[in-house]
This record gives sequence, structure tokens and C-alpha cells, in this order.
Amino acid sequence: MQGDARKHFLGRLRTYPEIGAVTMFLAVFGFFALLAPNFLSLSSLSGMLNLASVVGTVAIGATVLMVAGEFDLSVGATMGLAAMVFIQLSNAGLPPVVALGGTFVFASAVGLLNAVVVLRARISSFIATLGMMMVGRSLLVLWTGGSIVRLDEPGWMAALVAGRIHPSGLRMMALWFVVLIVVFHVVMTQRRFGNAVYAVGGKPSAARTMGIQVGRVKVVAFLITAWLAAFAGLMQLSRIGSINALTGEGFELQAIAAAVVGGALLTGGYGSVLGTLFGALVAGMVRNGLILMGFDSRLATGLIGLVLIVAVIINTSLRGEQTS
Amino acid sequence: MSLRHPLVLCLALLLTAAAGGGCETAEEVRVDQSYFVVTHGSAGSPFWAVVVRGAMDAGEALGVRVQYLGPDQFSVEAFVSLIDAAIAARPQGIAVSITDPTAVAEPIGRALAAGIPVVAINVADPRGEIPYLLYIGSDEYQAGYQGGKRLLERGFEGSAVCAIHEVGNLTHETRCRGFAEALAEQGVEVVALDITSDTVTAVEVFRAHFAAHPNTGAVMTLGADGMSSWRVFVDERPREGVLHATFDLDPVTLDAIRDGLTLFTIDQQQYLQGFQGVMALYLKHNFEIEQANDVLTGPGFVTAENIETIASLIEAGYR
Repeated sequence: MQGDARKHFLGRLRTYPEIGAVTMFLAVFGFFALLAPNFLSLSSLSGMLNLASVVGTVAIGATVLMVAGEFDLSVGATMGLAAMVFIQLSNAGLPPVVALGGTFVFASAVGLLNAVVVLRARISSFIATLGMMMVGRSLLVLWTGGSIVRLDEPGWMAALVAGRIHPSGLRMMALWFVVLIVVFHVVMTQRRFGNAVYAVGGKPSAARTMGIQVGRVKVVAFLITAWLAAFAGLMQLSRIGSINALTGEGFELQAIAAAVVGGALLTGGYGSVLGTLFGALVAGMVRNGLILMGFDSRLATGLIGLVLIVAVIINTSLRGEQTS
Repeated sequence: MSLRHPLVLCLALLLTAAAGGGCETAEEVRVDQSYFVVTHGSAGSPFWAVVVRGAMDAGEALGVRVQYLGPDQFSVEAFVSLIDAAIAARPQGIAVSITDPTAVAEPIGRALAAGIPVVAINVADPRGEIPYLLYIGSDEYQAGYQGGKRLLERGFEGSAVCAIHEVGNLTHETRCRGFAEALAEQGVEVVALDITSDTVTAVEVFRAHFAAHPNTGAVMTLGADGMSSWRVFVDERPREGVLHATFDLDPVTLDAIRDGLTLFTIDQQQYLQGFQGVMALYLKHNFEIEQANDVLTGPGFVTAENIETIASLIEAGYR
């Protein structure tokens, strides 16, 4: 009987892909809450949420796309380029709404281009978007001339995207991030599109027989990824008022790491937007907690790497029980 | 030899007068002499453009041909093949940055064997094995050390931070080591802080650090990225009484010095690396004159006192 109960419990756990991320989140949170002074202060918690917002927003897109069975390594470059598009339109005197529209038109073009190269030319998305990442980064270096480019009039757009909403330092971007998590969680778990994404990434042939248009679903997934990357770029721009040639560099891998900690499989068909929330939070917590404890902050990247591995081991071992 | 004397004299006059006025012997152009400057940096980058300017100015002053070679994108292979190209041109001298000592040792050996004088600029051979004439450049350890001394002279309470935006970058780590050792001599602790090159992250890292170490009295950033992150941080959460210093000259840094937020920035005066590089090769080739020691072009300090002069010199391409 006891064995049955255990099986039943594990069986229920296994249906939640975010279990590895939640476990790591609780472990890391508990560890620092006990040992790092000021870790639970409002300003520290706000700081961690702010930190998770930019990379987390990119990671939502990465999760949707990975569930659909594809990657996008160009998101970091898209962040920088989209912010640059916004700056150019805004500095040219256009109203913020027009600049915003232009930025998302640009992001749509990037998403479509990625999708076309992957789907039409049948190149692995890892390779295709690796190429796009290099092209995009190179364009940004040339476009910015390697120097810092400022937004002349941050105005209400910056306040809306990343303005401070609480004396502790909590910012609008944290709010946007949470809203986006909720929206995409609902879309991925309770809407037909979400079901289609899981089907397309899990078993494309079965998805086709179910009447799902695999190509179309993937195009939309690429678009969502590019839009979210562009929005993350705007978050950064609104937060600091300028960009440079390296804005967004490295975010592609941090986003994939957050998605993977959150339970997403590199092989597609499996993953969770909610898990990604915890995956994104853990990285910021480690960075913050180590400093508060007085450790060498240069350990942070390594520790985040260890968290990634342990989370995936937890995810894999639970899934392994499911198949056996 | 006597023929060449007036030219040198003229050059000295031009330099001390700091004006490009009439000097008859300057007509005596030695177009038959050619010198190369080869580094790992693109001539298009704001930093290297100043080195190129210095080298070209020396060439013009001495009446010799000077060519600058540097790969557009950082690549040791491309850099080494440019050194090969310079050697193949059989010039009267080559100034090289010892960016990768093991990679450049062989071609430099070949140049020396062919009787072409070589000087090192910008980056020295840390092992001291490559037999170039002399090194002309900054000393990162000294830069960090002198920077630390200056902050100590100014006086502050508590510990200090060395904010590294590229952890593992040898230049950055060396600057921090010099800084930390200068402060350690007075018993002041230095915390090396990984702020990453992402400003949003850096701001939260600074916030966490000040929460954990409220007694921090001084912060050193190591270049434009760290500087702009510090600026965003203190604009939002002013740190009264915390001293700040940084490295390199860029618009954000100049503004911060003008606004009184930053005490000084440390500069390596790279114009001198190009100018002196060509000059040293010229003196060696023509007169067998060899300076007996290395030339330190930095650390140079830019403070509120000399900021406007420096700003106009940046505009003009000399800093």
C-alpha cells in the first residue's frame, strides 16, 4: 500500500515539468534565506525580481520555441537591434507609440526570417539562428559604431516599461514579466495553440494527422520569441536609457538555461512557462545571495551552472520513472 | 650622419614649440624609409585610431613612410599573418603588440634575424623572452596600484571594491591586483566584484554589495561598461562619501568627472605608443640609438582639473 502511495505521489509530481526548477528554487531560496543577511529584505527581493525580468522575458520565448522543437540563438542580438530601432525612431522625433510599432515590425521581420530559413531551407534551427546571431551582432556593432547610443527622450514609455513602482526598487519590468508568465502559462496549458505547440514539438507526424499545421505553429513560435526578445531589449533600454554594441550578448544561452532548469527538453515537446519563471529567478538569487553572504561574486556563474545541472538531473530522473 | 642632424634638431624644435610652423629641413623627406606598426586592434576602433594617429604624426615629422596594420576583428591568426606581411615588405623597423607572446615570438625572431629592428607597443611580453628593443606602453599593475594610492591620499573610511565587468580578462584582473595591493599596504580590504558587462545585472550587484558591506568607501571600475553601470546605480541611489575612480576615456566617464561623481580616470596615453614606437625604430635604424629602458605611456590621470583640456584633445584625436 505504501509503495502504491509513493507511486501515486511521484506519478502526480511527474506531470509537472517544473518540479526540478521548483525544488532548486526552494533549496536555493531556503539556503540564502537562512544564511545570507538581508536576503529577505524588500530591496533584495525586488532586486532579484528585476534581475530575473529581462532574461526571464527572453526565456519565455525560448521555452515556447523549445517546446515546439526549435531554438533561437539570435534573441540576444535581436534584443540589442530592437532597442536600437526604437532609439533611432524615437530620436528622430517620432511619437513613442510609432517607435514601439516600428520596433515590433522589426521583431516580426526577424522572427519570420528565422522561421523561413529554418522551415523552407530545412536547416537545423540551432545552426540557422547561430548564423543569424552572428549577422545580427555584426550589424549592431556597425550600427552603433561600437559606442554607447542614448535614448534622447525616455519619456512615459520608459516609465511604463521599467519605471520604479515601489521605494524598494521594484520596477515595472518585474510586473510585466509576471504578467507575461501568467499569459503564456495560460496560453500553453489551456489554449488550443499551446496544445498544438506541445504536439508539434513532441510528435510532429502525429500532430499532422491531428490536422495541426506544423509549419504555421512553428512560425508563430518564432514570432513570439522575437517579440519577447524585442520587449526584453526595450526593458533594458528603458531601465538604463542607452544601449551599446554588446547589449543582449549572452542572453540567448542564459534564456535557454532558464528554460532548461524550468523543465524544457532540448528535444522538444516538453517544458513549462511556470518552470521558466523559477529557472530565471534562481540565477538572480544565486548572484545576489553570494554577495550578501560575503563570498567572492566571481563564483556566481559557476554556481548557476551547478544549479542547472542538478535541476536537469532532478527533471530527468523523475521523467525516467515515468517511462519505466 | 651630419646630414641627418638638422632634421632631428628641427623635430625637437617642433615638439617643444608644439606648433606645426616652418622648419626648412622638414622638406628633406626620407620616403626611402618605411616603418610598420602591427597590432591586434582595428584602426577603426576609437582606441587604436589614436595609436595610428601617433604613428602617422611621427612618420610625418620624421619624413618617413609609416603603415598601420591590424585585423578588423580580433584574431591572433590574422594578426600574425599581418606581421608576416610587414616583414615581407622589408621595412626599416616594426612596432608590434605582444598580444600573444607564443604566437608572435617566431615571426619577430625572423624579423630580427633579417636585421629589422622590433619594438613592443601596448602589450609587453610578460615572460621577457622576446628580444625586442624596448616596450612602449602602459603597465596595468602600476595603473591599478597608482590609482589605489590616489584614492588613499584622498582618504576614505571602510573597505573598497574593484568592480570587474569581464571576469578573467587578464588586463582587468591585473588592474585589480595592483589596486588591491596598494590598498592592502594601508590595511584596506578590497572586494573583487563580478558586475558582468550587463548594466541591469551590475546595478543589482552593486545594490547587493552595499547591502552586505555598507561600510564601502571607494569603488574602482575598469572601463566604459563598469563606468556606465556605476553611473546608473549612483543616479538612482546616491552614495554620499563613496569615492569613485575608473579607467579609460569615454563620454560617460568625462561627464561623471565633470559632475563630480568620479574623482579621476586612468588613461594609457596610447598616442605615445604609436609616436614613440616609430621614433624608437627611426633612432635605432639611423643612429643606432637604443633607449636602455622601457617607456611607460601610462598610467596618466584625468581629473576635474585637466578634464576640459583632455576633452578637446579627445575631440582632436590625440587622447
